[in-house]
Order: sequence, then structure tokens, then C-alpha cells
Amino acid sequence: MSAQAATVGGWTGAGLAHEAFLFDDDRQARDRCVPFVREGLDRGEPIVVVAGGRVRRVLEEAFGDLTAQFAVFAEAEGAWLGGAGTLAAYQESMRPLLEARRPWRLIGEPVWLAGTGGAVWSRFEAVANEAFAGYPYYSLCLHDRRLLDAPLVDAQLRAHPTVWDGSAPVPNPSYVPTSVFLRSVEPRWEPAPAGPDVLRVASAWDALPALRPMTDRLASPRRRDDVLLAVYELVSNALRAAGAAEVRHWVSGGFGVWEVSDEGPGMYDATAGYAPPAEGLRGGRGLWLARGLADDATVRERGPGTAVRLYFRDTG
Amino acid sequence: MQQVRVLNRPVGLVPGDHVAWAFDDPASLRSATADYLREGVDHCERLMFIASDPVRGLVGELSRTPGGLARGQLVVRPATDMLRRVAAGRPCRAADSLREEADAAVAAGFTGLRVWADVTDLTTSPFLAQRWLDYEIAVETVFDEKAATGLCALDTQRAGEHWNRVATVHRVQRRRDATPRFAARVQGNVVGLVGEVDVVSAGDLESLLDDARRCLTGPVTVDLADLGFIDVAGTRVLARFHRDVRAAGGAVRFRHARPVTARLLAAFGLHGDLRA
Repeated sequence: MSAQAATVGGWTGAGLAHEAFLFDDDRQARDRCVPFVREGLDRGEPIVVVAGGRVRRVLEEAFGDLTAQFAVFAEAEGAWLGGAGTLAAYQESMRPLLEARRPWRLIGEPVWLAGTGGAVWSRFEAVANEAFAGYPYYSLCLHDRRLLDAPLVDAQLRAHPTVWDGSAPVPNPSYVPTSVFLRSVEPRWEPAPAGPDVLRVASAWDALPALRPMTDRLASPRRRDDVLLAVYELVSNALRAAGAAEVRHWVSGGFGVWEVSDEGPGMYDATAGYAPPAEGLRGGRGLWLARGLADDATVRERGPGTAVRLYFRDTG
Repeated sequence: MQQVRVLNRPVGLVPGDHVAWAFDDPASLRSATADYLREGVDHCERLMFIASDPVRGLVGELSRTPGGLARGQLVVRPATDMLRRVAAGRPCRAADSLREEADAAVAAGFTGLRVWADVTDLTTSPFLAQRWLDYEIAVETVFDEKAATGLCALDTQRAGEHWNRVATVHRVQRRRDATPRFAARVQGNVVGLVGEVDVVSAGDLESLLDDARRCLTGPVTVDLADLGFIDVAGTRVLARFHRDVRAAGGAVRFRHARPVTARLLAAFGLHGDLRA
């Protein structure tokens, strides 16, 4: 039995297994991926591949025409849609597989980590651990050390619960829980500086007329629309949760920081706003949108009440 | 990009302006009406006054303004005429008839037509209210094409929540509390949104799109060029509108969305239907 499932260790298809595999040459990639795919084909598990050119060639050499039977055999090079966009597309692409209710295998190579803004992807890997925990697939994430700098690889290691020890998947000693990872890469929560611009909003009717002059005055013209919408959505959430909101602004390290806080029941979820909103037209999108409009965001991890900070570069 | 214009007094109005005027006491209405009509006299416009109870003495007052009224300058129509026209449910015919009146005013040597109507009675029954909105939507375009200025006065005590629906088809409003800060113009199958839609006015946008749907006859274009702001709640309404029209076999495209709005539409899955 163990020989049959050699490439995936104890994974039974009941939920997500998420491995970070590092390699320095094509042979290592081949030794990990080919048996993994072959075993999946033998067990009737759909094979999904989104990888760079080298890995695709390795698989084409090993499997030839069989690659046409993979559920997906796609280029990673064209797949980057930003962090949130890529995660949303990723989730959307898995829908038919979920509906088929059978375990599947994914070989993913996030080549975009090396591109501009690509480092943010590690956060979404961390979020995937929670968001996709119940999805029945083995996610083999490949990292070509010839293409990725060490800091990118280290971050990826902290976001993957499993690694390969040479002959089997094992728990990854570098792994940290999602919220810990996110808070380690987001801006640190320092106390707000004294005397920042403060606006108090106590009704939904007043929110927009009150916010607009503040963002007109304090946000750069280039980012003004984004700032207004992002802050407005957070204020909207706060009004719903607590009936009143406070908006603060200050400049720190080249960023315009906008903080929206309330004295409501409190929301401390570090992953809030990372995972795509729920299906269909219902379901909140405010924080998800705000994260996407801003250059960075962080949710205060303890109360009382809720506080969210948005960061806009160029003091936007 | 435009905002909805808000007035405290119905003056400073020129042809093309189509005003929704909320009032809740007869005295303020009387003085507002006098201001409005006197301005029309100053502008050498023909005045058309439509009401069931002409504000007493107003005609006499107008006659006493310096220069008085020219022959044929003041036309008084009973409100039952308008009621009948609206109830007949032929908004395009009614709009044509307004065009003709505007042309006739100019032909008679006036600079244009200035209309005043108390529309409260048209909002007190759901049947009439719906037809009235169809009429307003059709008539809006007449104010663009012709030398016509219009004011629809509404007693908010009696009209209640209908105020919002009436207001959103007028780009110039005398605001009461909680009036939506946006309006729409329907020209053919193009719905143009003006102003701002936020969480408190999203419901009014939904009502307005429901009303507009009755007037639309083909593929719809929603023009967002003059929409200064829209939030998640408002975009959700647009997405539902898109879904409902599609479900009924129609099509909806959005155009001239600002980048931030395009992003919002994309968040609701409306990518491919955007058109610059």
C-alpha cells in the first residue's frame, strides 16, 4: 500500500496537501514530478499542471501524448493576475474538479514570484492553506532555485506545511500558521502617531460627503479615486458593525496610511480580504476590494473593536 | 463629470433644466412658484402652468410685474389634462406633444417654454406613479433638444417615498432629507448615470433601473461617464440589472467607466461587457 502512494505519503484525498519542492536541475524536477503524475494517472486522479517551460518539457519528454489527457497543461508564464486575481482565477479553475468530487493532483510552479510584485504571492499560498483546506487535492509547488532568489524561496517555505525529504513528504519545520505568516510580511502595527487627521462618521448618509473632502485633501491625485473607494468601503463595514467609524490618516515611510476603526464586536482575521469573496452577488467584497486597491493592508490582531490600515505608496 | 444640481430657490434656470421640486408647505411653494415664473417672464419665455388649484392671485401678481405679461405668454392648463395624458400610457406621444408646445412658443416669438406642474396627484397611486415615471423618462430628452425648462413640484407629505423615484429622473433637484445624490437620463437605450451612488442610494438605483427597463427596447448601454462615485452596494445593483436583463434575453454593456469603477465591475464578474 505504501508503494502505491509513495509520491504523496499519507495523503488520502480527504483534504488539501500542500508541498513546497525545491530543485536545482531538471533531473530533480523529473524525479519528483514524473512518478507523482504516473501514480495519479494510475489512480484515476485528474492531473493539473501550471508550470514554466523547463518543467513542461520534462513532463512532455516523459509522457508525450499522454499530456493531452491531463485536465490542465498550461503555461505559468501567462497566468499571473496579481495576487488576488491569481488566487481568484485559481479557485475558479478548480470548481469543475470540486464538483466531480474526486481527488486530484496539481503541479504548480509560481514562476511569477521572480517578477515585479510577485513576492506577494507567498501570502496567497499561506491563505490557500486555510481557504482550500477542505479541497481534495495534492498541491505540489515547484521552486527552481536557478530562477528564484533565496528570500523568495524562504517565504514560500514558511507558507507550505509539507516538504520532500528525498523519499517522502514530511512536515515542514519552517512552516508557520497563516496568520503568523501574514503578519510577518505586512507592515508592523505601530501605535498611530499623535495628532493625525481624524474624521468621525456616525451615519451612512454622511459617510461619502464627509470622506470626500478628506481624501481630496490628503490623497495624491493619481490614487484619489482608489483611496476614496477603499476607505469608504471600510467605513461602510464599520458603520454596519458598530454604528460609527473613525478615519485617521498619516504619512509613514513614503506611504499614506489610512486607518478605519470602530468600537464594535471586533474582527481580527488576518486572512480577511485575501480570499476571493463568496460566490454570486451576495457576500461581502469591501475588504477584499480595499486590499486590492491599496498597496498593502493589515488588520489589527486584537481589540477592543476593529481597526484596519490601508497603505498607499506615493503618500496616496 | 457632473453632479446632480441642488437648488434652494428655483432660479438660475435655463432651457434644458428639468427640476424636481419638493415642498411641504403651501406658503413656500407659492413663493417658489412666483420666483420661477417671474424668471420666465424676465427671460421672455412662454409660461405653462399646470395645476388643479392655480395658486391664488399668482396670475394677478404676474400681470403686475414691470412690463406685465405679453399676449399668450401665460397658458394655464388643468391638471386633469396631464393626468389623462399620463394615464393613457403613451409616454412618447406625450413627449412629442411637449416638443410641439416648445416649438409653438418659439414660433410665437418667445425664447422658449417654461413649464410648471404640480405632480403630486400623479404619485399617489402605484398605477399612475409608474406611468408618470415612464412619462418623465421620455420627456427628459425634450428638455435637451428644445428650448424648454420644466419644474415638477411634489408635495412630499403626500408623495412620501415616491419622492426618491421622481427625484432620480431629474438632474436638478430641490433636496429633501435623504434624497439620492444621483440621477439618470434615458435616451433611447442608453441609460446615463449622473452623480454618486453609495450604500444609502443603492436601493434607489435599483428602483430607477426597474423603471427604466420598461422604456428600453433593445441592447442596453449604461453610460458611466458622469458617475462620480459608485461603491460595492451600487455596483451590486448594476450586476443584478445586468443579470436580470440577460436572463430575459437582453444585453447590457457598460461604457466610460473610470478605472476604479471598471475594477468594481470586474469584481462582480462584469469584464467582457466593458467598452471604452
